[in-house]
Amino acid sequence: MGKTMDTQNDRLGRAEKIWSGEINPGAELFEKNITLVKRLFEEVWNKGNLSLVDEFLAADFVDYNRPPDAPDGREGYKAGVNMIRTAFPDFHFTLDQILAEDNRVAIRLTGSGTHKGDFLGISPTGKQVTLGSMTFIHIKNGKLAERWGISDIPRVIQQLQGKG
Amino acid sequence: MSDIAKTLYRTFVEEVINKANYDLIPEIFSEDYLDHNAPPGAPVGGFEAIRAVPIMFRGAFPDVHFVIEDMVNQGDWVATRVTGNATHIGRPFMGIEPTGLRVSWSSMGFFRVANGRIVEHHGQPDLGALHTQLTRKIEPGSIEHNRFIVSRYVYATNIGELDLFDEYVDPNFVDHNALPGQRPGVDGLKDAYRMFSSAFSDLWYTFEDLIAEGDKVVGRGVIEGKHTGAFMGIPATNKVIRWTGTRIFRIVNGKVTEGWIDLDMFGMMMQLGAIPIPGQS
Repeated sequence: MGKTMDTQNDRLGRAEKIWSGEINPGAELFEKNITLVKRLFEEVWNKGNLSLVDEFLAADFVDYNRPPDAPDGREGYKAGVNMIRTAFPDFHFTLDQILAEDNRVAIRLTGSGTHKGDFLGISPTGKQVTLGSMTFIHIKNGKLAERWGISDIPRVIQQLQGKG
Repeated sequence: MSDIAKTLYRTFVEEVINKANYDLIPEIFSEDYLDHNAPPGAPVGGFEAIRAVPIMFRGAFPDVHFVIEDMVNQGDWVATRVTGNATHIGRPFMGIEPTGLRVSWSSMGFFRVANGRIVEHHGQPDLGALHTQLTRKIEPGSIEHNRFIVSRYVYATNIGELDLFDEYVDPNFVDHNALPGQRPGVDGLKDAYRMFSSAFSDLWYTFEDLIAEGDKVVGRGVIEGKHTGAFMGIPATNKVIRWTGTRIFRIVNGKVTEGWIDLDMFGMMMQLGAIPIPGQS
């Protein structure tokens, strides 16, 4: 009985704090979503921990900007990470900015890496490149459900071909 | 704050980009707006510089239309995702001369708002996708190819490269709206063009629509030029004149074989002061 009262008081106290603006329940969800996305980039992209992709991405994950002919879903995402990390084994994304609203997250990133493997038909040059990138993510049930992204690949090609 | 950032961006897309309503720029942007990803060669600083980017873009893609797909707002910032749809019927873009091709691409941006104005922007347009689409192979004899031929022919007139007519226009071209005494064929077409270009400097025809079906292509557009030489007996006024023109072309085997043109000569003559404007004395 006492425990139920406590829970109820907690709830009332929380409701008051939400009403007064002390707590923003949205912000808590946003923080969760932001943490999820930050961990994805840190673990999967920066550390190459592909086994964690299934933990971050929903089973029916859709990538609206995957490369032509690339498979969709988790396997396609893994293939994309693999392609970049094979060409640039020390590849690292820096999160320049991250915004969250409702179930959506937008990220601005700068990638960098050393060209040590084949990239889009260009043999290794040993050059250091930087890559501007933006991504929009929709999150459902604590996992990435949909993704849209643009990366400045033409600029990377310019850098590799020595015109950058 | 959230509504302000989204409303400003929405106005920018729907009014400035989609309708060329450049006068609204001071109501949307701060004068010291900073674009971290301004296109190469774009002017920097002030409202004129802000105007220059959509003007440059509309120059290449006069019918550009953006659709807002998503906006994520937090604090002073809003992240935006749009799809652009446009036809490459204007000036060269990324070094590619007008192709007449319809393109669709994504663009993303992060905007910061302060004191009710956009003050800062990071942008990431999908220029790779745009470049791929603008350099795609065009099937000879296709409707796309007909649009390509017309776009390149009209571009040749715009830059005054009359020699290029021979590449896009059939030597026996039939002008259904020939001037009195105009020579037949492509030579007469060149004469007609010269009559206009000798009277109007920087003469430029911009398509605002280009529609193809079967062996015909229809274009609706605006002509602009500075009246610096005598035209039909009217001495130079040094005024910049804008008038509309609708054109139909027939294309056979990759060459323009017939043409119809309907120019707003009445509007043009009114601007030149050669005929009175009705209701004004």
